[in-house]
Amino acid sequence: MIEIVEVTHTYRIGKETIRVLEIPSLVVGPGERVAVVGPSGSGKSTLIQIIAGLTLPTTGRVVIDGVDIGVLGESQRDRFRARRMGLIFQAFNLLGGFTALENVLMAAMWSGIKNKSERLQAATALLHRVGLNDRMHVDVRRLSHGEKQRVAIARALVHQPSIVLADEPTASLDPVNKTVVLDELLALVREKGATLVFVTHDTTLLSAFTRVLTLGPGGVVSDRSPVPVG
Amino acid sequence: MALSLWVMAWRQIRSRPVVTGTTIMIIAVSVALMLSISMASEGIKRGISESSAPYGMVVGSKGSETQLIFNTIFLLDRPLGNVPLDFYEAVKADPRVQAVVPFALGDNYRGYRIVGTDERFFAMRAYPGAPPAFVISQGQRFAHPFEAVLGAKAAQDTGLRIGDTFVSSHGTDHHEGLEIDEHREMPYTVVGIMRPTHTPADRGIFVHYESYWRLHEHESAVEHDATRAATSDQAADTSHMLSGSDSGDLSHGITAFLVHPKGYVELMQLYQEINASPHAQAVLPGQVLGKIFEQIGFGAEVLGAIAWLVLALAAITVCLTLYQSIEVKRKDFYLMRAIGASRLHVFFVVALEAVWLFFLGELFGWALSYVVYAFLAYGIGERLSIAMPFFFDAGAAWKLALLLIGGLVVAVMTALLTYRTQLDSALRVEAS
Ligand SMILES: Nc1ncnc2c1ncn2[C@@H]1O[C@H](COP(=O)(O)OP(=O)(O)OP(=O)(O)O)[C@@H](O)[C@H]1O
Ligand SMILES: [Mg+2]
Repeated sequence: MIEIVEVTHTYRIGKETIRVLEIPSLVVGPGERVAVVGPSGSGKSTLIQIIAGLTLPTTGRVVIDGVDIGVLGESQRDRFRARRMGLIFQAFNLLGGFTALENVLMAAMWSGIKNKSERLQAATALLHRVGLNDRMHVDVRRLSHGEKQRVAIARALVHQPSIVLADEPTASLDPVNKTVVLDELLALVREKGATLVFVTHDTTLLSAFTRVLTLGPGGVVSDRSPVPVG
Repeated sequence: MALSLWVMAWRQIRSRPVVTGTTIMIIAVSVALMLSISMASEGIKRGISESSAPYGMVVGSKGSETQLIFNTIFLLDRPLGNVPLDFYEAVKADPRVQAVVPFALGDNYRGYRIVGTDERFFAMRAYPGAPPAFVISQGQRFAHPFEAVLGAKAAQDTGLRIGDTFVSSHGTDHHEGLEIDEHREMPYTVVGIMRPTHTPADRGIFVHYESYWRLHEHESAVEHDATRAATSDQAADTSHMLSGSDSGDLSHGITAFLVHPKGYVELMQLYQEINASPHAQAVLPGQVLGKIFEQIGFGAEVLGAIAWLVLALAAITVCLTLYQSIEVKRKDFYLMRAIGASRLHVFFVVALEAVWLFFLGELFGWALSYVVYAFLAYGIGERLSIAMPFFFDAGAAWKLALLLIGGLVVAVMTALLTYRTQLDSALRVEAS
């Protein structure tokens, strides 16, 4: 469960400040799958970062599963994020020089799965699940875009997070891969019962979500169920 | 598979082979420079000490003691004047003296110095009970005047073999193309070649000192005739007689001789007595070499200071390299944080990267210092026939340890820089 209360965010560049986000109230319940759309610069990425606790909002509160992350210290917030959330970005999702398996294992390790064989089992299972059985031991720099994003999905889900935050993970993929990767992600999220917040520019994908949030210059422009595209 | 922070740091640097390679090389070269300088100065000292070991106390005419040692033992520099023969005989007859070895120098064959001595030369030892220092490997020792035994290097370089003859010329240096003062009427015959000693003696040609005497007696006679024939040349002749150094008149003396007294008390007595006499000086090679070592040591210290400076520059370079790569890796750090790594994790990965770089750089540098040393040893061996022995430089250990600590400081500094910038600008990376 994500609760956002009177959040505003302003970036300061020199003396100038720009307000990029203004959300009086937003609640995303468990198991919801929310698509976030809006023009470039409307604050979608900023919203994801604020939910993840990577950025603290200028004003307002963010409460995740009952915990106000604004009152947590930085390292507590790091640990909280590592355990409860899985993050996927548009690019730079993986650490080069490490294999796909290692990338997933790293997240498993930092998210606090203590048992080594448990980590290995979870990581391998997920990589199988996203169809990377024979690419597990390859340096991620040698993987294709689609493969990389599938590793990122496995990595984001390996520790069974309650919330998955995805910032345009399909933007750099071709149309076929786009749907394949999204389908894989949605299937896994549904299976694990996780909440998904998914930023995208691509309106063709919206029908797969339970809710569509549109951001605009003034904040949330609309918040509704997806309109089936004809 | 254990993904420890060490392994992670290692993978990180391995994923940037060019930057990593260059950085390690910079560290390695400066470490090698620093280590080989101190090692070379130590090696030269050891080589020189070993070369001078068989020579106890050297007696020669008054003058520079360094020159006396250089000329007699290292076959460098120019000979001092002669010691009167009766003085030599007097020391030799002294009851406190166990043995003397005479040396006459002043001629050369193609730059290889002709050392007039006698059979006692072959009895010289590095220390009592040691095997003889100079051993014949081919042929035999000289038994008569104008028989010559070649040092190993002299034999190799001149190509002379047993039975070959050659004529010596005046002076210590070979003057290619110049009209040289050769002793054509009295050639030497090679009768033996010595085993390599890896000391300057390898460059010597050893003959009985009587050869010198005969040669120069003969020459004096010829010169006398010439002087009588052309009295105008008198001035030059006189200067020749007086100079007694480069082209010393050897018919009435020897250049230097070694004295092996019966014991330490005798040594000190003789040392003082000879130095008090107006005819000669006695020099203990150890003492003179000590002074030379101080000079070498000073030179090495200056070079060593420069090496440290280079190393400091290398450290700064590494710091900058790492800092620059942080710019590139900001995304990685951001990602690591996003998937649960704490600031401290990232801090350690960056710090351990620097530790790896320094560790490998030092390891290669240490190995490289031996390569540099081998080259230096080869060069010095070729030029001076002083063998620089290979040895484990214990001083290198603490220097390397010190460096590793320095590397750690650099590592922590770099990591601290990262620590502060980890997330702020990472956001822009994501936003772009
Ligand atoms: N770290 C930052 N410092 C200053 N300004 C920033 C920073 N991050 C984002 N911004 C600005 O805030 C605004 C919102 O950025 P954000 O990345 O959230 O938009 P977005 O909706 O994700 O855009 P896009 O669709 O292009 O990804 C933009 O004008 C951006 O330039
Ligand atoms: Mg964005």
